[in-house]
Amino acid sequence: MSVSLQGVRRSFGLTRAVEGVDLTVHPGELFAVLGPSGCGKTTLLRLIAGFERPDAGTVEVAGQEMAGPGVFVPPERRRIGMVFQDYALFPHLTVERNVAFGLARRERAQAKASLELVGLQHKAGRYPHELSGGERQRVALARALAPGPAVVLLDEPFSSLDASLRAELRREVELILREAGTTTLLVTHDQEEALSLADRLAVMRDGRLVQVGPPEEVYARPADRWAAQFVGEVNLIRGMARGQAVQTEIGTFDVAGDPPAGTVHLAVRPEQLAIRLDDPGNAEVVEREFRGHDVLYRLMHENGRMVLVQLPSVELFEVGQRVFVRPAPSAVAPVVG
Amino acid sequence: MTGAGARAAAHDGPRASWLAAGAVAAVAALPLVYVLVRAAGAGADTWSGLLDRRIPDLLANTIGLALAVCAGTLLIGTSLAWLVVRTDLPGRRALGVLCALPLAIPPYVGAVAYADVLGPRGALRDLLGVESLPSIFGFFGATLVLVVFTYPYVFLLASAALHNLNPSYEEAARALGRGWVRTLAGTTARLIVPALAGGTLLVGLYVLSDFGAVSLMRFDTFTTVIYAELGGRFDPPGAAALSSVLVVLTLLLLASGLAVRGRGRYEQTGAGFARSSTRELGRGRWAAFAFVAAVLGLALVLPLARLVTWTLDSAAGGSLGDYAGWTWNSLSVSFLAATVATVCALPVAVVMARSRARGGIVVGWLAQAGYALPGVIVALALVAISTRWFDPLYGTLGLLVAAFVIRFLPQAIQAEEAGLQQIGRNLTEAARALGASRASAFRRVVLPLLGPSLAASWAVVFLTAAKELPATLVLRPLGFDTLPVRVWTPARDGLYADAGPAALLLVLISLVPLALLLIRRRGAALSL
Repeated sequence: MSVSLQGVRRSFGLTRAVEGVDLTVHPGELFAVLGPSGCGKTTLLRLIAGFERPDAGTVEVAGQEMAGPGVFVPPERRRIGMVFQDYALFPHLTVERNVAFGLARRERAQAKASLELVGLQHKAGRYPHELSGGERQRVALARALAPGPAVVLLDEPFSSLDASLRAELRREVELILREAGTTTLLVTHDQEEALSLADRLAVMRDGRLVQVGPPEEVYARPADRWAAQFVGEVNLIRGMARGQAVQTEIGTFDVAGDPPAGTVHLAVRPEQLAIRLDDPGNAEVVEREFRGHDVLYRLMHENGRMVLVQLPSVELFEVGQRVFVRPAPSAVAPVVG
Repeated sequence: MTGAGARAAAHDGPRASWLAAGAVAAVAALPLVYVLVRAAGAGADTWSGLLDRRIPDLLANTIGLALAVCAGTLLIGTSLAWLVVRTDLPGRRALGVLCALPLAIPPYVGAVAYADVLGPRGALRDLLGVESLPSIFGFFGATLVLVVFTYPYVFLLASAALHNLNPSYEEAARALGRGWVRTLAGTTARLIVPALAGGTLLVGLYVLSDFGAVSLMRFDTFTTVIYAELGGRFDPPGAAALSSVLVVLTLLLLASGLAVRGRGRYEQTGAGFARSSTRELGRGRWAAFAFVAAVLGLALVLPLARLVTWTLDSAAGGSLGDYAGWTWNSLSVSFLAATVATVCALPVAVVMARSRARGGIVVGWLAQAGYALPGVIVALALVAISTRWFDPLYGTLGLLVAAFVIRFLPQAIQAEEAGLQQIGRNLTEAARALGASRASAFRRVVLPLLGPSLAASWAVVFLTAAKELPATLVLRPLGFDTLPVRVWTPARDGLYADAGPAALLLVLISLVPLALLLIRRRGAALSL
């Protein structure tokens, strides 16, 4: 089922949490809202769930108006499944009773099916405090899915898990959601999470959606400088546009589309640069951050600016070495105003 | 209601609980409103007469007593707490439980034993073989009795605070070169100031409201004089005027106590139960033990021994009292009061815990007017209100229960609100997202989780209601004698031995809910 928001606003006193959001999530889609803390993304989720009323605009779920002028459907009649940041499992109920909470008595069999979907049927009789963090999350997901919701909302679902567990559970949760075939909207501040999970994502800042699109596009063609910096690491480099190319102090980049002539800024990702040992070259390695499969270098360019370069860890450069930095072959950098 | 107001109300809590909380608050604040309005309406003659003659002495007596008792309990309660929680005192665990037990002995019961043992013809005089002792009656006796039987408030809150204190602060102070004495005085004491203020505030409020102990110790304070007014020629404006002074005194104490407690409330990082440093007392251990034993001797052994010997004597002499009936009366009225208060407190606690609106705060404060209303004043107000507007109510059990509920509602509200604060808003929202209506989410999620808090609220009201004296004396139906009545009535006439069996029964009854509360959580339910 689809979710659709039009011109939705919500303020708390003088704070404008959500300011004119238009958004459509398609049926069966896994959609992420990505933004820094305080950008209004949780409020957006609560507006869809019905825990907040919009000051203006309309909220539709599965084609039915849930909130709008003169209309307000309370949360219990919206057919939404919600997974809270802290999971909000009922501490006085067993896992099975938690999952069955939203089911009528005769639908209890559905609770078993839902627990099987998340692979926790053997924990049915346990209480939430007896489970690990990852198990709690899966119970919360099973509970949200059990009543067959029109849409599932996930509020920072991985933030309270250990970093080591996160990637694994992310994949697992994605598989469960895909198998259930449900429409999902997830909010997060973790760009890696949003980029790897979502079919499409929205970047949110100060109550507004800055950009909406598939992860590849949001990463490769950020709407503005802020979005470029928020979604991954980036070098903002000034240059002169000449036709399909932009000349900069680091070299000439190919750009997509027709850039406006004159001075432009490019958002160059660290992996779009290459370096080789060269004395004197045009830069010096000042910092090396080893990340296992790849390495992030901080270089001091001869023009006095810091440049980020990310390379596979097959060849290592040492701090203090002189190098020559240039655009990587086939790098196409976007222009960001 | 405006659109915005309706929206806020719809969000901040179910409308039904707002209505219920409002109704409870209105009834709870009725005596306060009555006293203040009536006092304001008292003529200038009444006021000037009172101000010239009675009020200055009463103020001096009442404030002097409150200060002396607060100082005494602070000293004894804090040092006992430190010895029991933080030193290698012999038998500290058992002593820690014993130190809290005097809460089961109402001060007026203690006063009966003290008046007998330390009185002009008492056991102490016989023991010393002297002609006469300095009189126990008056300021000294009242202070002694109140300190000995109310220090557990300070003790319980101080020991809970010492127990939960993160030891890293003390270790940091020691690592920075402070000796242990300076650490104790400079760091530890400062960190538990909020708890000490809370405990002392409870003691102060108790002293201002006490009637039984001061009357048996023949020391005049506001409560004894207001009670006398009720018994003698009843002059409503005069009694209301005196009451209003006491109410203002109580409010001032409440405000200053809460201010001290609030200012000293530090953010603590981490929980500290894992390790807490224990001070080795060395040879001082036995001196410390002697101190604790002396306090327990005064607060437990002396009164209980006297009550037991009286009871044995009276049993041997073929006692004539209807003890079963009086016990039943005490149990049933306390049961009713505890049940009604626990139920009435619920909507107020919900509104206070869930609402960010100013209305919730106002309702909460009004519903807790009982803190500022000593039993005699509740009694006075309910007598006046019922005889004037609801005459059939006067002299009924219902009116007595109402007085108890108004008086002890704050304790129930505090216990339940603390419980509600532990239940995250997320849980209710999760229930609603799963299709539960607001009412059904409350019934299926909040109520089951609130169970222990409701039990604590019930127990604390039962405990205090069973001991209540002045409102019972004034409002009880004709012939409805409870244990407190049967303690106070003979004792007032100096027939202390006759009070013994009823007093012992009262202590035994009080032990049950007290034990429940102490087991549950180191006296947290007793906090303000």
